[in-house]
Amino acid sequence: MKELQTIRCLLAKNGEARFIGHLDLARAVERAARRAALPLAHTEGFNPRPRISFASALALGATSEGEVVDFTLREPVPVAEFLARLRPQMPPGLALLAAREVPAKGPSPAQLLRWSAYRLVLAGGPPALDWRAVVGGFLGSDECIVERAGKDGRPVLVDVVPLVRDLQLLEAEDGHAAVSVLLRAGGQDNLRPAELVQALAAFAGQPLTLKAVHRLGLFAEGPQGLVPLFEI
Amino acid sequence: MEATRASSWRDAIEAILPKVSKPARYLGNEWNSVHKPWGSVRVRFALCFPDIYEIGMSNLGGAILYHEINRRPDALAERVFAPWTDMEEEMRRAGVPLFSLESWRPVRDFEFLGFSLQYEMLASNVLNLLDLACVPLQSGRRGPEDPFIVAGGPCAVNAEPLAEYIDFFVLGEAEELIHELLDSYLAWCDAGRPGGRGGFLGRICAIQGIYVPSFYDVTYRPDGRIEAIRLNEAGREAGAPERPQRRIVRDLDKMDFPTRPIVPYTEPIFDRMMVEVFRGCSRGCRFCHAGMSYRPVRERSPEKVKELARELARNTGHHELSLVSLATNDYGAVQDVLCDLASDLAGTGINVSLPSLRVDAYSVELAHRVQAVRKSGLTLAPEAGTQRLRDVINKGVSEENYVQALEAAFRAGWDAVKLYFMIGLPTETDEDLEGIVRMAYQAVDIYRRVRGPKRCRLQVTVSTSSFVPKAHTPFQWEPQAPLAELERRQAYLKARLRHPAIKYRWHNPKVSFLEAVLSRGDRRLGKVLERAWRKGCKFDGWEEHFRYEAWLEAFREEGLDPFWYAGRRLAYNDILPWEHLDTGIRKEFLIDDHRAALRAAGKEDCRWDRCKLCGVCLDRPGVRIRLKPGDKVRMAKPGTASRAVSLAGEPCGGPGDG
Repeated sequence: MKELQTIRCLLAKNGEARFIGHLDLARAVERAARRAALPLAHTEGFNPRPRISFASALALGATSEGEVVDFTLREPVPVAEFLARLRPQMPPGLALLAAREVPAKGPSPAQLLRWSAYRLVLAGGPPALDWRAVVGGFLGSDECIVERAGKDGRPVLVDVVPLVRDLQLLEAEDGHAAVSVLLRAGGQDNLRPAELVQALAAFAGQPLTLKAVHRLGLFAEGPQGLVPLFEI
Repeated sequence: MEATRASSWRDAIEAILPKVSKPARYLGNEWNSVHKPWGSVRVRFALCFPDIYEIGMSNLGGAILYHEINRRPDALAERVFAPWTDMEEEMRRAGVPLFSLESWRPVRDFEFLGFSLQYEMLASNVLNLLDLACVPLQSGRRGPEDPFIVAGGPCAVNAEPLAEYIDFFVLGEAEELIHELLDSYLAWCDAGRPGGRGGFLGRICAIQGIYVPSFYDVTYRPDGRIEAIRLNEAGREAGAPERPQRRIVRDLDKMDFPTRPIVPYTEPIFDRMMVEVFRGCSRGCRFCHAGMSYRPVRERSPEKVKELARELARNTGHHELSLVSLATNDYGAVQDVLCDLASDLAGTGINVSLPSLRVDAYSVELAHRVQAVRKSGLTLAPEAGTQRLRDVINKGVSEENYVQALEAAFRAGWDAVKLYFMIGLPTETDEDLEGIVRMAYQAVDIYRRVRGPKRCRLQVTVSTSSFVPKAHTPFQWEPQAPLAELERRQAYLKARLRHPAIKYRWHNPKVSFLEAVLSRGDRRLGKVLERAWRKGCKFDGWEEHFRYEAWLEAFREEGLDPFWYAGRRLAYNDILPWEHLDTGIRKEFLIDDHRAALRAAGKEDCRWDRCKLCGVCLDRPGVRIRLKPGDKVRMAKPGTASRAVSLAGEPCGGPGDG
């Protein structure tokens, strides 16, 4: 019985790679791993798939400096060698920032995920917006309801406030504003950047558009607060 | 890579990409894509598959040419596909012309723009793409700054409807020809481009495989049939051949094969590595355009196939390998190669698949052994429902073959079987339709018999397409059944194939009708094609875009009757619109074979049985077949000893011998 090994990677997705959707990304990473001749473990059963596990799907159009991907190997490879073999096989715009070994039998990154950190660029107006007031208005509310399409197509009402943390206005100029924010992520409750924008639009009194989405990182919840998913 | 993007268009394209579906297919920077600096080469070729990326990227021919051109230091090749309708709309709105994927440069900046004509219904896309590229539609209107427009692929042997829009066609296989073409181009440039565009066409028309339509004139009789197709004065002056001849590659092993194919981001329809194991088919099914136009059979050696497969796996990271050919398990050494390959690659999780299976137990067992890693659905193509009709079309499948194939399949564990048939075949009657029904139910019975009374998980999918008479086949004279009749036959099958385990799929007969018109069309259809395109016809092969009424209108406005093209029985002495193009198959053979078809006389594969003298091997110097009855055939390499075999199976001196 061979020793399984799991290596957790921090992956960046930038430049033209932002036009690659999640499924295509997963496929591209799988092929890169095969080209690197890494001894990937496979799932059992009728349709064996290599054991490559993403913490979360990144929306098409978004960039990121903090995607988390676990690779499970059927025989151990030193982390430095893993990186040296896989890095050259990555297509343009995709980069492996770091890698570390994690317990092979531990929970998957998707299971541990609780919060997603983003830098968002929004646009609004005319008339020119007081972005500070918009953000402040949201932060001062106890509840803010947006509509989301439910599984059967019927709209579901979602209170955005508990799903948002640390919303901060970074800069504002000429009808554009950049904010950083943590959005609830993972299985149970989660919030998408576009939904936050919908909520903010209520405070702006006009529609807002989401111009750019950049994921800063993914977080789990530790005993003392948030822990980067990559580190856990 | 991004530095080679022409910056002026880059911003405009990047602004559009977030607005369209699957933007990754327009990136052009996939793994193994080749990016050469624009100024570092002397000639640039835009290779265009006139359908969307996901379809075009599964085309091996394009990948082969991409590789051939790019390995020349003096040339580069980039890819172009038809942008999907949402992307096209955005491009037209923003004034972005058709651009190549690798460098995002306008296609009109290339020296050559080549279209791959894989099926007839792509014709309107060709016009649409020329328009999107801002290249004048008619050859006669192009100037010194416009690229040369060339078209190749299987439909090039009858693409007369496109004659006015294409500068020259490539008939047959282009791997060797492309170098002769590019060398000739460079020589013409060095000489100061004498004669302009016409001068270049005059230079290349003597290359075997090149057909310049403007060097031939077509005249018509009062009743509409062709009176003559003749070399005209310009053609004579240029030294063009009376009958341009199809080009074939003699030795596949000598040809470079792309072992660094591009790895797409999005999912092409065949998302696999491909190794071509042989080209051509000697089965002789009478309806089959591919079988007739890719003759003779040429094999790649098993050692070469294995070597290529291993290299491909290393360079791509794909997990499925497809052994490509028209009927893989006719391949001589297939068993050794496959078992070897399968074991080699199994450890790395790579699945070997055989897309085309002969209908017999041997093939199924082979597929079972080979596809040990994963099982995809099993596809069999009996094509006709009765032995009589199968003999007419020369699809050599016996009832016994069929039953044994299914038994082997179900024993091996397959639960899903797809059965391909054609309707509207020559001499077909309702009895033959009943035959299809019987064969479908037979599959259910065999499944029950093999698997026992347990829950039936069988899914039989019966898929029918409509017969289309194709140029250069024995059935080229046959009419297509009228539309109403095709629809009646489909309804008949739909009514009779009612069973929970049986699903019936059929192709829109209106599309098949247009296909027949274009397939047997002459140059006059060019005007109809252009009108139809101007009315908005494009992506005709796509159900949601096919606009039948618009096509009919286009015909009416040009005063031409589509039914005249598709539904007429042609006479043996009619001059056919493709008569002047020589595929190497003798017209006498086609006539003989057609007569044999009407007598329901089936014929055996000419590699194992007697040669039928189709002509394709006889008058090509250096290409010999060594036939050993009951044994496998290898092409003898030029210069080695070989013997031609007469019709009676006796060795005799062949043409060109001694």
